[in-house]
Amino acid sequence: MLAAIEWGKLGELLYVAPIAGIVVAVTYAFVILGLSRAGDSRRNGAAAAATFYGLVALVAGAAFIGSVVYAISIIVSK
Amino acid sequence: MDSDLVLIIVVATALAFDFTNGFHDTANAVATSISTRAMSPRAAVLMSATLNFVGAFISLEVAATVAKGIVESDAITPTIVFGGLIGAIAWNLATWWFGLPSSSSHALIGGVVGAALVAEGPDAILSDGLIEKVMVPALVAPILAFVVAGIAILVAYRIVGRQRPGPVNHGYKLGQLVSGSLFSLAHGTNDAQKTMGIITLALVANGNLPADDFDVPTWVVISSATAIALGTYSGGWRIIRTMGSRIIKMDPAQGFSAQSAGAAVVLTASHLGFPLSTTHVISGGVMGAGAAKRLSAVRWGVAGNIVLAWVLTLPAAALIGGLAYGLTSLFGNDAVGVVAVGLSVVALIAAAFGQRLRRGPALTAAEA
Repeated sequence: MLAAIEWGKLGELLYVAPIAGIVVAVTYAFVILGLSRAGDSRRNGAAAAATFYGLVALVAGAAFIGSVVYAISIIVSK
Repeated sequence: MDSDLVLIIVVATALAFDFTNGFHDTANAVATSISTRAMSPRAAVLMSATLNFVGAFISLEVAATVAKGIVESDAITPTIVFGGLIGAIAWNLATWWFGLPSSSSHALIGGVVGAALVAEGPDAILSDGLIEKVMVPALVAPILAFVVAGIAILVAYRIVGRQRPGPVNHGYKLGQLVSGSLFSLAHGTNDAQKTMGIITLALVANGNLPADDFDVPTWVVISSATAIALGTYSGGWRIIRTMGSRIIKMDPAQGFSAQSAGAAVVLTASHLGFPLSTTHVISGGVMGAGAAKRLSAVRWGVAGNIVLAWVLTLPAAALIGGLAYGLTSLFGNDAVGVVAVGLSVVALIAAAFGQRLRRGPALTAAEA
C-alpha cells in the first residue's frame, strides 16, 4: 500500500515548496521595506539612504518579478 | 439514438459540474483579496473568471483525466460518468450551501468511484490510486500550506514590522493582485481539464472519437472554459465569506502570505507532477497565516467543520454517485434512466433554490 506513494516527489515537495514560499515572502517584504524607507529618507532629506533603500526595493522587486515569471512558465509548460 | 441522447446529457451534466466547480472554487483565489479589500468583490471575481477562462486554453493534457488510475478504465461507461458527475455536483452544492470549501476534484473522484463500485463491484476500484491521488494529497496539501504560510507571515512581520502600517498595507494589497491572479490561472489550467477529460472520455466511449489517437475538439475546450469562467464569475459568496473572514480576520500581509505560500505549494507540486487541491492548499494557508500571528486568532470550530467536509467528500460523493447510477440502471434502458435521474436532480435543485429564494435573498457580494 505504501509503495503507491511516490516518496521521492513527496520529499522534494516538502522542502522545495517552503523554500519557494519563503523566497516570495522575503523578496516582497523587502520591496515594501525598501519603498517605505526610501520615501521616509527622501522626506527627511537623506538622499544617500533614499538611494540605498530604493536599490533594495529594485533588486527585491526584480527577484519577485522573476519568481512570478517562473511561476507562470510552470503553469504554461504543463 | 439512445446512446447519442445519453452522450448529450452527460456533456450537459459535465458542463453543469464545471459551472459548480467554478463558483465553488472562486473563493480559493479571491476570498483573501476581497476580505482585505485589496479588490472589490465584483472586480475580484471578474479577474478570476477571466484568468480561469484563459487558463483553460493553456494546457490540454487530457492524460490527466481525473479518474485515471483510480477506476479501471475499461469499466468506465457514459452512465458511470453520469452517476459520478451527479455525485460531485450534489456534494459541491451541499458544501456550498453550508459555506464549506471542499475539493471539487475529490468530489468528482468520489462520485465516479461510487458509480463504478455499484456498476462493476470492488474490483473496478484501484486502491493504490486512491491512496496516491486522494488520501496523501489531502493530508499533505493543507499541512504544508499551513506551515509555509505561517513561516512566510512571520518573516514578513519581522521585515516590515516597524514600518508605517499605511504603505505596508497598501503594498500587500497590490501584492495580492499578483498572487490572486496566479492562483486563478493555475486553477483554470487544472480544473477545466477535468471537464474536458470527462467529455472527451464520453465521446470516445460513444465512438465519436477514436480511442487510440484523438485531439480534444475545439468546442469541448471552449465550452469547458466558458462554463468554469461563468461559474467563477457568479461567485460562491458563502464560501468566499468563510474563507475570507470566518476562519481568521486577516490583514493584507496575512492575505498575501496565505495566497503566495499557497501558490508556491500548488505550483511546486504541479511542477513535480504531484497535483494538490487548490481548496485544501488555500484553506491551510489561511489557517497558517492566522495561527502564526496568534493561535487563538483562528476560529478552530470553523476550521474543524472544513476538515470534516474534506473527510466526508469522497464517501459522500461516492454514496450519491452510486445511488444515481443505481437509480439510472433501475430503468433498464440507459437513456430513459439518465433522462429520469437528470430531470429529478434538476427538479430537486430548483425546489431547493426556490425555497431559499422564498425565504429571502442569499448572501450577497456586499456581505462577503
